Amino acid sequence: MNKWWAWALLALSQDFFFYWYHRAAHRIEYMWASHRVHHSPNELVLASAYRLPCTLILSLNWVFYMPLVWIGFPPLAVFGVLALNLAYQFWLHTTLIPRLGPIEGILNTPSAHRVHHGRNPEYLDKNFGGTLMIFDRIFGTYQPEDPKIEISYGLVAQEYSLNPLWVAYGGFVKLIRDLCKAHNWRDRWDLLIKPPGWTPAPTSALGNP
Amino acid sequence: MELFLYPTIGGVIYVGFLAAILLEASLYKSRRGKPYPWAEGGISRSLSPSATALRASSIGLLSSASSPEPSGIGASTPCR
Repeated sequence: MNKWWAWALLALSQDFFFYWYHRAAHRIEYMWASHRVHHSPNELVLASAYRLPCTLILSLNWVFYMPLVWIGFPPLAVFGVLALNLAYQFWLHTTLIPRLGPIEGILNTPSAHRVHHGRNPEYLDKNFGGTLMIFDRIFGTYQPEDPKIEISYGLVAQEYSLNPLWVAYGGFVKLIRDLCKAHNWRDRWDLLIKPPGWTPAPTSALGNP
Repeated sequence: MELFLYPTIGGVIYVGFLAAILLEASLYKSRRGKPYPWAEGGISRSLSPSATALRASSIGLLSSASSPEPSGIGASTPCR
């Protein structure tokens, strides 16, 4: 890691794997149970950047960065670049910075991240990038902010609890409740890996699907 | 050297972020026309359920916003 391009390559690769971690965190219920904590504020302010889950290790986010170590990057360098990536994202969590002209669509900006935190139907599951928007453009999840749309922030079913334990672990409580209510193991597996909001097909009183 | 360097960098970042939050809070009311969320009892309480329902109805989210749990959202609908 004594060449500048090695750090540049690591930063680019790390953002690629962050994109896929982040996308999975939104589309896989088991991972969303942790990540929903970050989306629980109903307003977007800088302080909400640090409403972060304390269950990330449980939600396997580290698995997404393992390939960087396997291909030879030092674990400490991977961890350091990840920390810088997350520090960069602090300033994205505000409504006071307008669109930033030519860098929109290239770098992650407050405007792009407002879309990511929006619960408006047209803004759900968009703009997963950490520092760059290029992977969103490549994989079809980029959505620029529309000034005509007033953004509503937070979860689809907004969270009003001020109990930190509920905010931190409520996603897992709901998931466990759903798993207990499921009628078979196939449904339980699907509840874990399918997108948030997925529910098993209703079963009638006669037992027909 | 590193014993002091890394805590110093961390401290500068910490103080910088804190200053940014305070700056945002001081500008918030004049720019957004409403108090900074902490003035109303926390980020989550910044919108009352009734106000949320009104806003949600204007963007087509009334059914989910009026209930504390997601409801009526199928597997094919992106839901968060």
